[in-house]
Amino acid sequence: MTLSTLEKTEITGHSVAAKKPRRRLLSIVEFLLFLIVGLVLLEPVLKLAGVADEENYLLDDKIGWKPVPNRSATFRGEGYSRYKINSLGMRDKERTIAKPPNTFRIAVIGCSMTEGKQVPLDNTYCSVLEKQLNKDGGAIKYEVLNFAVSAYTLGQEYLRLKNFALQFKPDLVVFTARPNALLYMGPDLDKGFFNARPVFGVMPDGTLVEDHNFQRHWTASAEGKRVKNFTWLSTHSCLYGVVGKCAYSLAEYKKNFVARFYLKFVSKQRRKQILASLTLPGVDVRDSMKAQGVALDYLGKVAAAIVRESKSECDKAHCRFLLAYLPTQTRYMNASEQQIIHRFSEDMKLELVDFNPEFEHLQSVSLTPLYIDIHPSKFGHEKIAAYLKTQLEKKGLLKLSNGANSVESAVSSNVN
Amino acid sequence: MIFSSLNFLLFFPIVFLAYWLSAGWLRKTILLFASYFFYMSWLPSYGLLLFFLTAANYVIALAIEKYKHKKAFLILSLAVNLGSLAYFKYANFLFQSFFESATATNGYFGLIKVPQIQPVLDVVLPLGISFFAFEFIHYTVDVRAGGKAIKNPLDFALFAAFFPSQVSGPIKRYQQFNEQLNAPKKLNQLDIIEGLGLLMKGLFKKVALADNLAAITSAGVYKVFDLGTVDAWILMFAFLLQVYFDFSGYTDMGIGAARMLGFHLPNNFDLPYVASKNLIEFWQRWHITLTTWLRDYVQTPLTGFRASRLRFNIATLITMTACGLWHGAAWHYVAWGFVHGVLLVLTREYLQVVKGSQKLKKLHGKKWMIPLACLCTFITVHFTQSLFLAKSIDDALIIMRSMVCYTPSALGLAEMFWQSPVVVPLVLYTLWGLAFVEIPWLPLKNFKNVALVKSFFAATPARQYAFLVCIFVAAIAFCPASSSPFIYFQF
Repeated sequence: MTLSTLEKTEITGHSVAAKKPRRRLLSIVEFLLFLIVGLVLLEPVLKLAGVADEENYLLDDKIGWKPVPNRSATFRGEGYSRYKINSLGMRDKERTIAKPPNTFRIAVIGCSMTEGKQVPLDNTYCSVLEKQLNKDGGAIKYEVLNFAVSAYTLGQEYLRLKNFALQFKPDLVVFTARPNALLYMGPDLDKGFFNARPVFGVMPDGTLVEDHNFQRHWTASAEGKRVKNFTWLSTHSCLYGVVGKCAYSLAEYKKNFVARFYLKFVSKQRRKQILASLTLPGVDVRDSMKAQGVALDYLGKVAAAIVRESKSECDKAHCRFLLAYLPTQTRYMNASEQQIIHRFSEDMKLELVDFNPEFEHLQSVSLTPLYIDIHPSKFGHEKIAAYLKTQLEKKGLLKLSNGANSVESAVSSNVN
Repeated sequence: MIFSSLNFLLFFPIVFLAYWLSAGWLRKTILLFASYFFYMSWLPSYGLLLFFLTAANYVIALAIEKYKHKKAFLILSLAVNLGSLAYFKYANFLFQSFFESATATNGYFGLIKVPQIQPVLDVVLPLGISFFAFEFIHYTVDVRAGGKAIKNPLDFALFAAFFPSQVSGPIKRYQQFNEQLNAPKKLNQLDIIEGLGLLMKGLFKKVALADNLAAITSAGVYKVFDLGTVDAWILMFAFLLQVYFDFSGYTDMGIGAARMLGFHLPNNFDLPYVASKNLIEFWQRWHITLTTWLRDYVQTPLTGFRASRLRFNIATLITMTACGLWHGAAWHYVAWGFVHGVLLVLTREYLQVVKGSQKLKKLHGKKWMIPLACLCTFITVHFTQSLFLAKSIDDALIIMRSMVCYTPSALGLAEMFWQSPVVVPLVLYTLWGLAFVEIPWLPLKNFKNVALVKSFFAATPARQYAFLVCIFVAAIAFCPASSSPFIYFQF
């Protein structure tokens, strides 16, 4: 005799009901177990691909952010490239803080244009310049140290120079200004993480002032706290990058839906308070072309004060100072900014290298692209290195500050 | 709203819960409301167009069924559907082509005065218009051929607006859809697991693979003059993979979402790059619902059921040229379709030769010949796809020339490809494919280990859910900061 399914259920109904919760529990345990195993296996896969670690920077109270030392990842901005940050937090090969003997050190301070994550390390203009300077194999070794960090403003570059780069005792500092550097000096209202940066202003007497209000404001936010409190995870786990990415996307989503209306609906007083926490006028200058004329004039004064302070720090450390105005595609050029930079360099009697006239010409004759989009291509880096080398030689900046004609002669005189 | 967006991640669970928790009679209304919400999230006025076309086709089909002048009503339906398609998609293309040719022929030899500033219609292409226009045409033609018109306006509105297939297909057939729409549905685990599986697979294809390949493609396509030979091959390889992962990813997500709501949409892809032994087979495996639509509603009416070889070949050429034009209002798409038409004709003629030759038959029957034939098909598609990718025929010819005549690499796309994060997910996807998909010429199913892996993951729902969560995490991890729009949205 065979039992129908219904009869079977009726007979065994009690035991089935008793087993159900246990089975469900077992399913949950199995799910969690397999999920954990799956995620653990995913971690090295992500590491291998160099993804999901978007939080490539550590928050820093003084400067805003710093690269995570020893971080290796895939850059996915303009094109792709695998990059590695060295143990000192520089996009460079391993260096020592102490200067090796018979070495002429050039410290290059800058932003993403110099950091060059778009190209392999060997192709950044700092690496190419170092190779070119050492090509002759003289007694002196040249080191071109890359201190650039993505999205740094001129103010942050100044802090990087003062608090970090000068520890390496450079003989020459190349302080770079990216095209549109003046317009990128304000707080970046669009980018969460990049809000956490000090903002610089200038007093009527020309004194440079540093303002951390905006930075503190962001760090105190939920997203700021998350970034700060989970530093270990974000520096050690690629998977945590997924959390960061989701949190960032959600924050963006919220910003688009809520925060964009926030300033419109808060009381006038609250709006004033928020705006007052910014040193600069509460406008994103890049979005407001009308404000450019006014803003540029003010920002030019701030930039001049930053450069003056940077030079004075270099003077104190007995190293030479060169201001380099990096090239960009003609369509991104800002002639007013170029004029401002030339004007204050002349006023301060600074050594200035403006790459733009040369690169404008190159752009029109070269068959190989100089830029990926905003950032230089491999070929562009090559050309920057070549032009910089020519200018350094022409301006006699490869001489030591003790009066010797060149490092070689300084060494030979020391040897004698 | 796109399937791979945060909006959809919020939208779909709400629709899913509302659909399954509501009473049966309310479900269609919920789906229709959700579908219009989904469509109008792009641009609210799009909804009006969809509504107008739906209403027009609904009434026309009823008229075809009821009245004697069936042909006249069918022509009216074609005029409405093709007219709106022509206006929204092709008006500017026609204007531009007319004025360009007029300029070239000096105002058609002085007959017309060519204005210095050419007029441009300020028309925004409504998303998915090609897809739902094709569905409407299929519907009215089938009703004209004796099919039953849909009486319930809600059913018909849902056939037109069903959000999982609304924007990029698959192109549905109303007979199957209507049957499913009115069949009683119960939420079951299999539908959820398989639907979720397709959603995750599609998401991974789109954001981990296609979006990462997009950067390589765009690095090359705007700089065709700088392409070296290796660059050109890498560019086309990246684009070929991108377009497949992008479109099949979207389709997978659409089919998966529909499956979770208890609907089975037709499959659109069947291993086109790895299992097509010739170009005819490629088109039977690539965008299947479009190919079958073109066969049924363009080629067959042109040939009739007993056509001569010549007539059949001419019909193929016309159909494929129309297929090219459907893909985009530009001459390079037309050229792409035409070239594929020519290649299809040549393939068909060659197959006839093979049929008549014992030697060739024997050769083609050899085991090693199948992967070789698949490789040749892949390379053919690879080469001709430059007409699809490039911004103009001139650009396409430059890419083709770079592929054939050696020039040193200037853009370094090969290096970019290897440095990109796409290699690892591509390997993962291939491994997954080897374990779970049966490739005709690769009898991996006979290997015990593969079967073991397959059964290990599919053993219990808990394992499958865990696996799906891992795919979701991996997809987000590999997703670049800016996701590019689906390629087939523009069509």
